[in-house]
Amino acid sequence: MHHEILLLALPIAVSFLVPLLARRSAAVARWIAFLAYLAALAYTLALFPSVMASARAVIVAGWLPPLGIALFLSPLSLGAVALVYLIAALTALYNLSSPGENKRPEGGRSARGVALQALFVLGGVGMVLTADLFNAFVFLEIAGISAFALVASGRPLQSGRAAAANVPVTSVEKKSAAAADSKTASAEPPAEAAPSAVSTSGSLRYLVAAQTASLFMLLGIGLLYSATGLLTLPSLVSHPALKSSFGLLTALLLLFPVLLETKIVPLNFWVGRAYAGAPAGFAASLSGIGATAAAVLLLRMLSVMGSGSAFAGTAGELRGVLLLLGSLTVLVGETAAFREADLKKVLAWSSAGQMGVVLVGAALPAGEAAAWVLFFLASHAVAKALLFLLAGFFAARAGTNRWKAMKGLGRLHPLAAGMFTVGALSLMGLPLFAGFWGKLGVLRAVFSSGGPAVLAAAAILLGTVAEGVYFLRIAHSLFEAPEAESGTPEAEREAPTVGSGKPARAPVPAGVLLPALILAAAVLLLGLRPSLAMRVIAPAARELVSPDEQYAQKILPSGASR
Amino acid sequence: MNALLLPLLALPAIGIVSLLLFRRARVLQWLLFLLAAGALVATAALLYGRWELSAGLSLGVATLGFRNTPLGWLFFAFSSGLTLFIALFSLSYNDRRHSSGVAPLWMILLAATMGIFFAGDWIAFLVAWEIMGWTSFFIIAHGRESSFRASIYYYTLSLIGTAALLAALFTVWRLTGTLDLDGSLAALAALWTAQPGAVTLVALLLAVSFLAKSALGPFFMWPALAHAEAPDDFSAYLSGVMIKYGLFALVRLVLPLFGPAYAGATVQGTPVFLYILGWIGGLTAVWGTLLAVRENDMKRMMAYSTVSNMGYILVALSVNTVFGVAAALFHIFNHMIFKGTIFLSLAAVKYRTGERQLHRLGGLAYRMPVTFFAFLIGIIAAAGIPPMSGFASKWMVIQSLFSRRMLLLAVPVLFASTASFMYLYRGLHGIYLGQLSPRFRDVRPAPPLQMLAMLLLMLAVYAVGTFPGLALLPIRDALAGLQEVIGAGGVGSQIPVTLGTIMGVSSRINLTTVSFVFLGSFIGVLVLYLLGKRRSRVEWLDTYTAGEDPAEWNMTPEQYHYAYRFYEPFEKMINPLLERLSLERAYESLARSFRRLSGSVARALSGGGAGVAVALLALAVILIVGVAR
Amino acid sequence: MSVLKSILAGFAAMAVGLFFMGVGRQISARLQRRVGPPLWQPYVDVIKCFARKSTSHHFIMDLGSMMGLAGLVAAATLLPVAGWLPFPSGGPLIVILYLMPIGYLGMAMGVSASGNPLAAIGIGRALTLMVGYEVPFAILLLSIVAAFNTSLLSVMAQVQSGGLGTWNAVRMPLGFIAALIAMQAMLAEKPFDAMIAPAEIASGPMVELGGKFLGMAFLQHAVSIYVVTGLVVNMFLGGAASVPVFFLKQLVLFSLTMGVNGIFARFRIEQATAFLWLSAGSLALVQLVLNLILY
Repeated sequence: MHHEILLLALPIAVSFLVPLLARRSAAVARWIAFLAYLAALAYTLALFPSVMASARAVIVAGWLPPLGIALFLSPLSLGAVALVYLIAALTALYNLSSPGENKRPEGGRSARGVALQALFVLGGVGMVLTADLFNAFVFLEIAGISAFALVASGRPLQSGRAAAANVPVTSVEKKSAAAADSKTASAEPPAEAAPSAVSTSGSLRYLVAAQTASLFMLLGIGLLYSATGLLTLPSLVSHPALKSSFGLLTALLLLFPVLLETKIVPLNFWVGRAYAGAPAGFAASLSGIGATAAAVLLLRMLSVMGSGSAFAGTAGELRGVLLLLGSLTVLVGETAAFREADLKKVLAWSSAGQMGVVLVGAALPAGEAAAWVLFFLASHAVAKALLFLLAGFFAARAGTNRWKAMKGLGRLHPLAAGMFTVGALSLMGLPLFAGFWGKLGVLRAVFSSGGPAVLAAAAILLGTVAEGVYFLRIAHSLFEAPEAESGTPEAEREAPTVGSGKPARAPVPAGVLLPALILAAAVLLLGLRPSLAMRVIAPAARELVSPDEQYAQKILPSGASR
Repeated sequence: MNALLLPLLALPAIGIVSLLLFRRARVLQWLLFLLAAGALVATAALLYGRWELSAGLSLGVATLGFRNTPLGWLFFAFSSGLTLFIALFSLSYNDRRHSSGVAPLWMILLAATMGIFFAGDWIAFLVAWEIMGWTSFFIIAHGRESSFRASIYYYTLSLIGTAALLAALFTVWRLTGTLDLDGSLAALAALWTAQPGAVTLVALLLAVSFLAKSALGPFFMWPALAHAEAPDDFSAYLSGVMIKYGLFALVRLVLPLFGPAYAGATVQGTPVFLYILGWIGGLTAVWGTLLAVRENDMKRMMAYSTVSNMGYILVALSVNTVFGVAAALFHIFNHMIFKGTIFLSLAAVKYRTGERQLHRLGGLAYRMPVTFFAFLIGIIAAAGIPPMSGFASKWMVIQSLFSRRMLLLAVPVLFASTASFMYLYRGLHGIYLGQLSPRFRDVRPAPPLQMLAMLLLMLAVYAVGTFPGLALLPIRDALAGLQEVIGAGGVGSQIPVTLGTIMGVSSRINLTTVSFVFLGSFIGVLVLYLLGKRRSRVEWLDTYTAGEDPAEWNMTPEQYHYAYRFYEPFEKMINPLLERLSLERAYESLARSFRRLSGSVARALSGGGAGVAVALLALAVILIVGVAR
Repeated sequence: MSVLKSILAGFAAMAVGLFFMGVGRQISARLQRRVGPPLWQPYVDVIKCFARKSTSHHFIMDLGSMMGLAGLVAAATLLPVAGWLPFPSGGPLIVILYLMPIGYLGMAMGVSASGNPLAAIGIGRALTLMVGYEVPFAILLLSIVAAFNTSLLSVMAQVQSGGLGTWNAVRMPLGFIAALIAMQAMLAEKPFDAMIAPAEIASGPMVELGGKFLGMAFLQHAVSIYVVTGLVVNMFLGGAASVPVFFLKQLVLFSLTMGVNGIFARFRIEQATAFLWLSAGSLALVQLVLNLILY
């Protein structure tokens, strides 16, 4: 049996073993998960040299495609898998520690939560590696269901009037809610929190949306099968073209769940509540793993749907529709994030906006922007994970998700706030940080394709302006002194940090600091030396641009594609 | 690793290290800053004349190219000099009570400044521009909420400018295929006959970006917030150096487009585009002055004064001759030093008294004479009065207008210049003269290091005023290379100047002589004064009050100091106009509508069943439209 | 040599200016049907002032008063009188226009340092008025530049040396009228003397001045009369072939000014500024446009 199956087997093993072994202690579960992800990451990195030399397909159980299932290991898929496992490992490390004095057993950190997260990771890895449409559907379902369960199990800190009003709370909860909303937050952790309305409604929305989207994909698969008798993506590459309107409909149906996972308008109404309701560690995974893996799958599908394939006739219109959707997503995402009071929602909407940029880049003809879209995706994954982890930490310290209540935390934890700023600046696309190169590359490709793409560029630029404002607002409020007015002498304001010795709160736990440092270092490194990532991204982009030689022929045994 | 690259890389590195490791060591941070400023001045000295020097920073995916050009060197040298003086001041200013902690970020900003001035290609320029943007945001905001509001206002306009810059960058790339600054501009300029629309678009986008950065035209209101709320020593850097970036970029990137290859319409000899820019500059000058007259906050007043001066510079640039560019550069340089002097003296006042409002100050000249003199010299230069430096540059600006017979444009310039006396004097009287409040009776003069910085700047102002060639000769030499770009021969292509004389279209002036004449008159009058009978000192409240005693009315010195709403009659005249044409209100309502839009979008997309229905409906529509085609 | 000539120019300015002030007082007196003081009264006043004791609040007050007079005397040395200049400067008009304010600024600084709010009010009004008259005057400068491409007073005088028909007063009548209105304000005579306003703000800037300070203020006013009328003579009345004719033309202008002063009441300061912009300013602007077209 091929040892590459380990890539999928490890998360499955975690999800099955954890409920068995970790009955008593959730900590054991968390350690198992962390070690497993670390091992998977190491394994992935070990596979790199051979895969970079030549991509290869791994046939499972000896059944050749188009009937059997093949996993495709290439720079693109392996790179994405490495990213996924990196973020999974760092999130697991984050879950190992307690982010603050708040010891409420949040959903993501119990044994059940660990198992579900492993399933989510499996879904992400699987949809990147697979070459089969139905397989992709299955992995999307796995990811979706585990996400739904995890979001529902979240115990978010009270983040707004709506949450406080809907929930039938105990008096203990109400008192902590009131206390949490005051500026100098020091919430008493109640013994066991009631299920939160935000989590429940968020997860329900996500479920409804995801299931509807899956239904559509199933319909699309059915239609495709009836028209071509094929289910594998590579077979579609050199297939004679389908009728144009049929092709467009099928393509869009197939793309539904991926578009949903990547928060494209109008399928992103679940974003706000789901992210707000999710536990902090899982929010990082949802964005870093879920959106990234889905985006890679999207890129793969789009590259297959390019010219010279079954969808040849509809390529132009498809591009147009996707360009429009992408631009709308950018505008909607950034605009919605602007006014949000809940930090997690801000980050979630920002994710949606960034995915819009990815879609715009992916929708450009001839894959011009392929390399830069991948770079953008990678830098976004890293930066967003960083932001979500730190957001969780700050939320725990402030007792609430509202970013206005986190004012001044940066003075107590300057390193954490500094790293948060680094992540924010990277997302804004400012130089010295990774996001700059990605955004620059995508914009350049958009501008050089001319025509209607220029409107998309305008949308991205407008989005950048809005994004800059709200991110800097949040980043700066971390550094503001809590009771500052313009007349107060500096000495009073600087009291917590300058010369007074011990800060007022406990230091940042290692489980938060370590992942954050690694991610921030990655952001800086990619910003200063982008060529480091290009070594992997360049061949990955080539794979997307010319799917025929790089992709299809490697998977299908010659002559077996019809 | 040559003299160009070393500071560019070393400075941010030192800055980051300083930020991470030396957070508590305040003095060390500012000492490092002073050393960095000194190193930059040394670099400027090293780089002079070595115009062939260039450096490339390879990052794999792109190479950032830097080139030592005369124009860039001029700006770099001027700004480094000013930074050194400010660094001297800052070392003393940032003590325990007043420390703003921005030294590390400021060092990164210095590197970004150098990058902007020496950029050899578009990407390098963009990188430096963006770094300058976010570091200056954090410095201006420096952890205070009121400063944050000012800073985000500034940064939003800056972001809009950057968006325009990006659009221009990519358009240039697409049109000319090269990213090299000089090469792409030359190629673009050659496209005037073939694609005038495209070139005009690029020029327009660049103009929007750079007008926003230099607070000209519709972007005039941000310095009043940003310069006023920034740390006091940084305000001097903001008004002195940072606001000039846009003008530098205009000279470097936009003017070459209107060189000899220009084939479009001209008005009075200058391209239409530049003519319109000139009028924008003139109107900005007037608007800035009118707004400054109304101000009661000393820093806001001087910020509006800066806006007004930027207007003069834009006017000088709009004549599109070498003489005009020289006048603009000269005024930039003069403005740097006299505004630096003014803001540093204001910082010294704030340092000792903690006040910024004019009506709460007063009489400080009696306690802080050196600070007073620095301010006085600064405002004499700002008003453009000989023998200080401001006169020569303003004169040259007007002469450059004469050379094109653009005399109508000279009207707002002269109006603004005259009206500037009003607010400059108000600052002088409100802060330094009049009655001294008992609260400040024991105010000590500024610390020695601060006084040293101010003295050096005063000396510079006076020296350049008496010997304008000190600044103009380097400017002329630097612009020698600009002939091919702007246009050789013809009107205004020469910059006749000697050490003491400046020559223009309609006359020539030997400023050294004027300066000595004034000195001589002063000595003569002094003799006359001494011939008169001796005078006796009297108490402050012992003034003419028609025979009554102010003490009987319980009059305090603060009440007796006339400073609040100093120009009430004038304000009565201009307020209706300013109210009706308030651009700030327009921006406010724009921001408000955006915020409201944001809230409704977020709500619409989170509203449960309704949201789902709308989403699916929208998708169905798109599908039907897509399929039906 | 030029140093001596400059000193001579300075003295001449003061002497002639004081004489004009004497004539002015006579004109006022006759208009008010009085006998009036003798023509040499201002000289006596000045000498008397210098002989009296005085008070000062701070050395800045002394410095300011000195600066005030020095600025104006420096401007006087730049004024060509029938072509005569103490040193070859050509009579740069822009320099003079910018050098005079240093006189006012100096005096303003000095009286501010006296601590009397009435002085500050007066200075505020004076500066507001300055915007009112400087702008039309500057536009007139632009008109002449448009016509003759020079801003040197000696060249301007030379261009008008061909007889009455070549005077700018005849060739640019609108500009001349604007200049007369602006001149009225520059000399701080009614209706534009709200900054002095004896009954209202106790002479405004001069409220704290006594003894030699008052003397220097008088001298400053005298020199300003000399310089301002000299400017208008050079710009519009064709300069003069000889010095006495020059002084005569100045005297005619000043008499006109004092005549108007005797008849009119005082404008409020915002009225004054608005009036100057609307009347002198618009006339000058029209003249500028005309010159741009015609020349």
